[in-house]
Amino acid sequence: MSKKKPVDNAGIGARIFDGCNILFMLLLAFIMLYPMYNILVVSISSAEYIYRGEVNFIPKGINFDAYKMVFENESIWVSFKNSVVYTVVGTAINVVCSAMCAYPLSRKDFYGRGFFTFFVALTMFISGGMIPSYLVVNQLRLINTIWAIVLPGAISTYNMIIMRTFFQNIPSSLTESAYLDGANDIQILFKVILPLSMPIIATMTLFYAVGHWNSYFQAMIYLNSKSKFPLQVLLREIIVAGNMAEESADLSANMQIIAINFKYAVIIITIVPILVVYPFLQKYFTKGVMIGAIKG
Amino acid sequence: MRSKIKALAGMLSVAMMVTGCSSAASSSSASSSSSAATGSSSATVASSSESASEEGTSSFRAEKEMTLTVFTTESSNQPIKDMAVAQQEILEKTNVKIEFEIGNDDKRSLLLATNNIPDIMRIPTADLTEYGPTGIFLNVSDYMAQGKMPNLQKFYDEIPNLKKREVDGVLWGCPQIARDEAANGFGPILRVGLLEKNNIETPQTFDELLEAMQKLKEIYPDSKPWTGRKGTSQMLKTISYMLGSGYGNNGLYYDYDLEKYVFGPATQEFKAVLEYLNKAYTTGVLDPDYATTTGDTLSAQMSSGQSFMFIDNSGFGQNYTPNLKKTDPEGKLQIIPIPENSFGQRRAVLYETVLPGDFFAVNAKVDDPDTVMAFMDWLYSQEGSDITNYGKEGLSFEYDENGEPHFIQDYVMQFKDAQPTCYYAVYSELGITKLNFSLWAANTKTTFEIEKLTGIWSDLTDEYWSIVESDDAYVTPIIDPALTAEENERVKDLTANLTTMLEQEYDKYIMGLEPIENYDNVIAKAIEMGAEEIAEIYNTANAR
Repeated sequence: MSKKKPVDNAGIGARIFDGCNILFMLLLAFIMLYPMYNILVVSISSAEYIYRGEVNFIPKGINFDAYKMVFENESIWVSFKNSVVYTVVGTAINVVCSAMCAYPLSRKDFYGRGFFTFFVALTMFISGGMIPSYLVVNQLRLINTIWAIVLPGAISTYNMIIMRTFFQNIPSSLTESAYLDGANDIQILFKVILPLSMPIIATMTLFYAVGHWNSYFQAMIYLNSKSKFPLQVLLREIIVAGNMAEESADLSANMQIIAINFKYAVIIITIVPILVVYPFLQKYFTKGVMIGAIKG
Repeated sequence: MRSKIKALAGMLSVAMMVTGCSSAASSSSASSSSSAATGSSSATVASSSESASEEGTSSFRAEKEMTLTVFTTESSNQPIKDMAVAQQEILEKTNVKIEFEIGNDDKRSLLLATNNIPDIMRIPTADLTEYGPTGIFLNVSDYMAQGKMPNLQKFYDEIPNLKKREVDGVLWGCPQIARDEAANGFGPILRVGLLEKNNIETPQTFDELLEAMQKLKEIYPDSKPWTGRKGTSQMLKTISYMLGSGYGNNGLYYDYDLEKYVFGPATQEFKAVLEYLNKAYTTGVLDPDYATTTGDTLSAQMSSGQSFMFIDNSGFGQNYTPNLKKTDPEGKLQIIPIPENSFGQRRAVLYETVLPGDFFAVNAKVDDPDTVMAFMDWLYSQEGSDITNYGKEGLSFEYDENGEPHFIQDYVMQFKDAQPTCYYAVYSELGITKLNFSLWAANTKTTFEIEKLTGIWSDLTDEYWSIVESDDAYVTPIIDPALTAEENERVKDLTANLTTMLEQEYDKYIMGLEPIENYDNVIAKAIEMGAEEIAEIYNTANAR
């Protein structure tokens, strides 16, 4: 069968419309990408051009001194390691806990389901607030430990509800047949439901991992030792620094003497790791579709 | 079926338990929190004066090793290290181990609000006067009255401004006191080389200054001769006093000629400021974007040679000069003596240099408060201050024949090319000076010394300081008096309304959208809204 060429019967109006759409989308993409591109360009340019405001699209006086400075900075490495640990441990706890909470709530035969759903959903609207949370974490002796970072937010209610909805869409006949084969609930969750739920697991992993990687506030509040700070706290310090001590004879303390390219290099170092996680998780978004799981 | 429910419920409850999914804490935990204070290890009393024990040299030594946690904020210019040289030296001399807890302003507020403060806390004056009276800190005045803090007492007698930090006669924290700080302030920084090149004389009055800038604008039509760094209010804050009025932070300022507080924008003199800015704006001297400038604007325009003048912290000039030299090898930014204003006055205010504003407050629940306070007092002593500002004798500094400490050149030179600057690298490595844990703290003193040793110190810097020091237009600032709670509340209310109203007005007059005569209406409105009451409250408080 000869392949038919698509008939080009679009009118001039439709073409203009398409053209405008494409232009608009390109513009939008540019607006999104330019700040990141600019940060990259500035981070590899030399300071004199940056100060004169001459670096916009093309890096000038290309050098990697800023990155050298970043890599020579011990505390950045320590924080980098911390960030990775908090993200991996935190995300693992998040996903496991969310799944364990979401699955029972997704089962129609779960006793008191409405009651529990209500109370879980309530936390989305009424939260303890910073000071009570701090007091709880403090009294549980979690201050200045990794657990203060990974435990208080172990379940995001919103994410858990997304997961529950996904589980609900898995046909109950699957679980029934598993029961017939002698599986118990735990086995069903881990051997039947979760393998079928790779798309949602991948999504949740991404949500949680990005959240952990980017969060600084909890770390800032709950951690005391510098050796435990994640990257974001350090980044914040580097970016916000220079705004202090504005009124004193302390000449250069008044200024942001940390060079802009150094700051931007730190920003790049901070965003790249989480950026590269996306492609690896992407393949799971399409997997796990239930082809032919139920017949008849 | 039953077992199924059990398993499901179990799963859910595990999940809930682990996460504390329910709405966090109840109020009961808030009230009982105070018991969970940070522990400090035991220490027995050691008398501050007579324990010249076998270790000998130190005037203070705790009998048992004692650990003190110190909450402090950190500047990324000078990262704080655990047990740096100075802290090791403190431990060796006094048997006190310092552990830092690093946080920022949010965390400090949280710790204060929940009463979870560590042994010693670095706090600004505002927090000291707010939380001091609640009794969470040790009463420093008591210890001074009992003669237990002789070194601090000496400073207290010398610095009358310290009384203004008291609440009802009580000092709730140990003030950080500056050690030989050089003073500068707001002042005009000009491209003096460019003036010479174009045969323009150094301006003696503010009108001449404007004329000089106008000439430069004619020669370099693309330039924006006068720029700033934080928009309109910063501009008013920096120049109003020199021009014969004043702005302070929100309008209220202390007039050293009238010797009283005045709400600047509600006075006739303020019209002179707006008129001056208007003239600068219409002649193209003032950056057309003056209302939206940022720190980046200032550094970009000054170092690229696009602008020729700013009036702000005059120390900035030296930071821009190196970059400026790359475009214009003869480029030079230097301060000029304060010009005369339209009222025939030459006036400017220096920055406060004796009391930088931070306090180290001691937790009232600290173990063995007597020893801790004796330790705090030791930090005010020559020995304590030398260690916390110069490091370890023989390693980083040595004494000259007059007993004055000086850095050792070989030590300092190791950090010559360090980032962000040599002196910050030295400070960070040694754990010293104002941004670390030091009560009688050096800042410019040590900076200058290090810059001279490493050869970074330039003629420009020398010239700068000699101009500032020889200029009699500058006055030393007074410290704002402490207000009572009601006064504070009232001032806050009035200021908020006034600021909202006034901030909409300034730019109209600067840009010339309204003729200056109409500003009389604004003055009347400001007075009606309580501008004079604010000044009155401060004057009354100051007289107390």
